[in-house]
Amino acid sequence: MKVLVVQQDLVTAWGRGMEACWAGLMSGAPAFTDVSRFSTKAFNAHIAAQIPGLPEGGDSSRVMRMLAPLLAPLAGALPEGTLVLLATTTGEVDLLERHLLSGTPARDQSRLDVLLGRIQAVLGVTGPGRIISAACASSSAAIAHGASLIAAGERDSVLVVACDAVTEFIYAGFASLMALDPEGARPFDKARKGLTAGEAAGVVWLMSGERANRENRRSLGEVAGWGMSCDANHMTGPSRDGGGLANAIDKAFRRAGVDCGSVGSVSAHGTGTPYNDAMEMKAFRQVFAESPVPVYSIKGSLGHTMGAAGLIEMLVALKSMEMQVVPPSANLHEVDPEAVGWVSRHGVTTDGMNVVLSTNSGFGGVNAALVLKS
Amino acid sequence: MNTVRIQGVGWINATGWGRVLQSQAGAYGDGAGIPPWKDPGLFPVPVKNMARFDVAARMTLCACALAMRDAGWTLGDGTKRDMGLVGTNGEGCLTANQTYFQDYLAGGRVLARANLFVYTLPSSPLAEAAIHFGLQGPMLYIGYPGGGLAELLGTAVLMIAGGDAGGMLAVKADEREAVAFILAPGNGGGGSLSVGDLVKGLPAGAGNRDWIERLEQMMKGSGGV
Repeated sequence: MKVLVVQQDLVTAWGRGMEACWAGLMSGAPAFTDVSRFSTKAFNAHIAAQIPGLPEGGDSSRVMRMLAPLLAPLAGALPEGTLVLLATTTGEVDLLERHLLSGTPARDQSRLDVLLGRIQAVLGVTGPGRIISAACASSSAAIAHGASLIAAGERDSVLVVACDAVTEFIYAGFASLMALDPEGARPFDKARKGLTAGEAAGVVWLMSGERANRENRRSLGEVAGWGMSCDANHMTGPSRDGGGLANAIDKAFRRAGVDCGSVGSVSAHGTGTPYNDAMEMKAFRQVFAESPVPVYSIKGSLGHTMGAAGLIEMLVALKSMEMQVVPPSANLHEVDPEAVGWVSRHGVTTDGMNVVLSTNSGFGGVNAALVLKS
Repeated sequence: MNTVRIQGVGWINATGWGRVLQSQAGAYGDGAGIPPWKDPGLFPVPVKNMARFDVAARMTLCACALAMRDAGWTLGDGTKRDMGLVGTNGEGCLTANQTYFQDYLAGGRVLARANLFVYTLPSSPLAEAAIHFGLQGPMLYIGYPGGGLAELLGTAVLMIAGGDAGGMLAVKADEREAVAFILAPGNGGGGSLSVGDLVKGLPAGAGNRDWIERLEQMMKGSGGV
């Protein structure tokens, strides 16, 4: 059973919608701005990729303010039986911050099931939904789960909703791990020092090929393969040999029925941390047998959007096939020797790119890979 | 669900522990505390940094260890396994989130503690289990509001049937009780139970205790293993 993407929307630090996001990515510039919503004086970094123009204050959480415009057009439009999957790492954790600082709202308002309930209420969906969390691979894991359910015939319509916000909660945490690059994330750069926190929200509506055909839905692309693995190695550091990620990619290739020779480009997790990017290059070299394929990371432009990263990167990868352009890796100055010949700071025009790979990894050694077809 | 079998079940709660297929159960002695994470019988190789884990992570590790022992596995030998891990609970990691951020506030909002921050993901306890037990398959947290173990087992079966992993460890762990299942492909026979028979015999919303009792009934019905 084919799994098709029939609708999408997103909001990133480049603004609302894929056109704004794509234009920003193709500019090759970072969308990083100074953080002013909380003090960063005690930290070694002071910038983040923040969504512009979101109203401040009020009772709602930042992720709900990000999601509201994306969900509104879908309200009442989802067929009965559509499963809603929420992918996030911290959800409405800003509500918990407020609770601990001022006593309101109630602590439970920051629970992930409460957020899922809010999303379903806006959508007008009454059936049970699910929350998927696999660290920074959360939304690629959710897409894989939704695709599995469709492929097995258990569902024919799944909406994946992904979101995470830049908050003091996560900023202080990444600072404590010395994971923030004060100059901004430089994925695959020789001098990279860490990530830049980012925020984003997105929705992807997955549908079985059969239902999409029956309803004359336009396909934006196919989720053809997926695979997940765990390094089983360390809570915050990836396996040095890239074996875990390579394993996830192999599973995704097998599921999609493709081999490495058919892959036109790779959307890497590419956080900009020394260990992550080195691990990924080892995995890619292993999977592609040292034969370079264009690899890029959008995190030098959009920051690390955590639980939303996989979904945003999947949508960019689909757009890259539509445009037949591999986007540049922003903020890249001097390519790491291990990535020379694979990663470029310039966009690359291609021809016949109809299969791409998108990968994510996260805390706990989790890895996820998606194979997408145009 | 007929081609995936339950090969081990472990549980712990405030008063005791059990390994269902081996019909083993026990109560904690005075002062033993819960969960029994220092018990060398449960963890022949000590779990690295377990003293720093939050309670949910300790409960997860204990239930997983009991399930693996129930399946007859040798633990702590460093073996890596093509086994995935899917977990659920009621409130995600809300308590860990609160602990971390309260600590940060108490410190004057200057420096957060990394060893508290790493538990602010619902998947963190699962990651600790995957690391200790060498589980290299898919690892993810799924919250099922209004649902629970039936949906969790359904997900594990789906992943095995789809070829995502050679087997799955499915665990539901909160701070006061936890239950874990080892699932693997199989067509019946000794030493395992049918997932389908188990799920069919339980009402929606059944609690952990209902599941354990149903499992124990099934064991008696089959004459034990």
